[in-house]
Amino acid sequence: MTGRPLPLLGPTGATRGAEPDDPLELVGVPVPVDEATFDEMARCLVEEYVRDGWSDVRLLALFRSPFYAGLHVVWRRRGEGWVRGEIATARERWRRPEPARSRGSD
Amino acid sequence: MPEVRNWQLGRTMAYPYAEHHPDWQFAFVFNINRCIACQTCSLACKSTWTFSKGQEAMWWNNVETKPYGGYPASWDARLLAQLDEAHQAAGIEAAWTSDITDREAPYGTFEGLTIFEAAAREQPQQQQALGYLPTDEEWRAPNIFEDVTPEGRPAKDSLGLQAEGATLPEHVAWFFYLQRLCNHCTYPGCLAACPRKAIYKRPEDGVVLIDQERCRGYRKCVEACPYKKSMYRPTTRVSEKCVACYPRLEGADPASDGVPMETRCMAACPGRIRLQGLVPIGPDGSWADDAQNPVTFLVRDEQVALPLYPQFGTEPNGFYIPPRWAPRPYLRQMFGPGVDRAIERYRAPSRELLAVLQLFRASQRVIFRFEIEEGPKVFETEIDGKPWTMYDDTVIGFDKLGREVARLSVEEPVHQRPAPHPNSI
Repeated sequence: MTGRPLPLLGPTGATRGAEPDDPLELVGVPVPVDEATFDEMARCLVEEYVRDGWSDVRLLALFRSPFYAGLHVVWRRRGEGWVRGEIATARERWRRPEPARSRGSD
Repeated sequence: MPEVRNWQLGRTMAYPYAEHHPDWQFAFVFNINRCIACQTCSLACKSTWTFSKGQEAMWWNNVETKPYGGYPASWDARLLAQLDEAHQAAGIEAAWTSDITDREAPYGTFEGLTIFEAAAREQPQQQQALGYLPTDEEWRAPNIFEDVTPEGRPAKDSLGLQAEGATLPEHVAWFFYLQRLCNHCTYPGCLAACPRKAIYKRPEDGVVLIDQERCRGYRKCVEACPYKKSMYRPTTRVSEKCVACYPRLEGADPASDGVPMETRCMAACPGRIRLQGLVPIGPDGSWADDAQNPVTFLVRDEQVALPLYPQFGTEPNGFYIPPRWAPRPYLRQMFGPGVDRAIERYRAPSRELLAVLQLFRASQRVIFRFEIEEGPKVFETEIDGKPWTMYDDTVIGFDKLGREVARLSVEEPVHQRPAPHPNSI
């Protein structure tokens, strides 16, 4: 321990502008982006797990969890109703009814 | 330099060593369409092999969010830029011929320069393979640019355990998760570059290993591996890499019953995106014609699984079913010209493919052969304007000794493990 007073460090780094030689600087990669691709991505993930036999409760839990950031961003941007709709559409398309319902119990 | 045959390029190429091929090749298929980046694979590997001092920033298996993240940071963008410069200097276009009908050249012929050919053009030649040594900063932050937890409390009934998350950027456009480990390449860049000849490819399974006794930590392998899957450990001053969980592969694990068993990262995948195999290799290095081997079937017969950056020229043995939604030019750059065919076949899978996809994570034992028992028709529909019929067939997987280790139907019901030990293995 030193008795010498140390200067307080403030959050100066976060306020500085971009520096191209900083290896941790955000690198821009131009890629085409549209809402349809975003929706297709969400639809594909829903379809994969519906076909795998997941229940609505299990699948919605993934979308609601912020720790599955990819699915969660879909849930937040499009809303739970939209996700539920996509799940229902996938069940209809692939003839994979809700497992709880097909077993006749919850 | 000797000329070696690279089936992924559809031609021969220059490589520092003459061709020698293993009897079997460790290989795997990852279905990107299903991955939700839970990172269970990364932690399974980490907790098995790289939990010690000096290995803090060492992730033999990682999952990165494309096109934003990478471990080490920007690994592929940097090498692609180097290769671009090499092509411009040589006046050569990194193009593929459009003929993709030859089974031995399923992606056409690559007319550009591999990392070995680009390095050989340098005067004087500095490297065996074009590459670079990532900085410590690039290794240090495997999560940088990745998907991160947004601010706010988890919604009711969610799986979140913590109410507070960090406030960091998130990706609101398209993305996909890329699962990465050593590709145990047929023509490894790491092996080519090692000045000590400390890196070797095992004749029994094609696994690429670093002899820890011979290695002196020159890091030429780290520089030359295009996938940056050879890593330096400062505490031991030698390099390390994925060992393909060789005790499991050799059947030495107590749970393996003496036959090859899949690696920890494969076996841990809850999303059923991973399938590992051993494919039979002919004396000339070609994949033996074995359509009942699930990996051979997916890669060579159905051609739905593609190598990662085949243009690098190392003939990687990891294969990916590309994501259906990502822009095609980006995917063609990453997986080569077979992308459109692979996605078309995955969107409307053949009867056999639909059954084989059920083998993903069906068993910890390596499946050497599969059979399909035909089941009843379930329904008819249209996919992409074409009629498509689904059948509830049953796929059966067999281990190396021909014993049945998996039996699943296309409409396999889910069996949920009851509490209180949902995470037990």
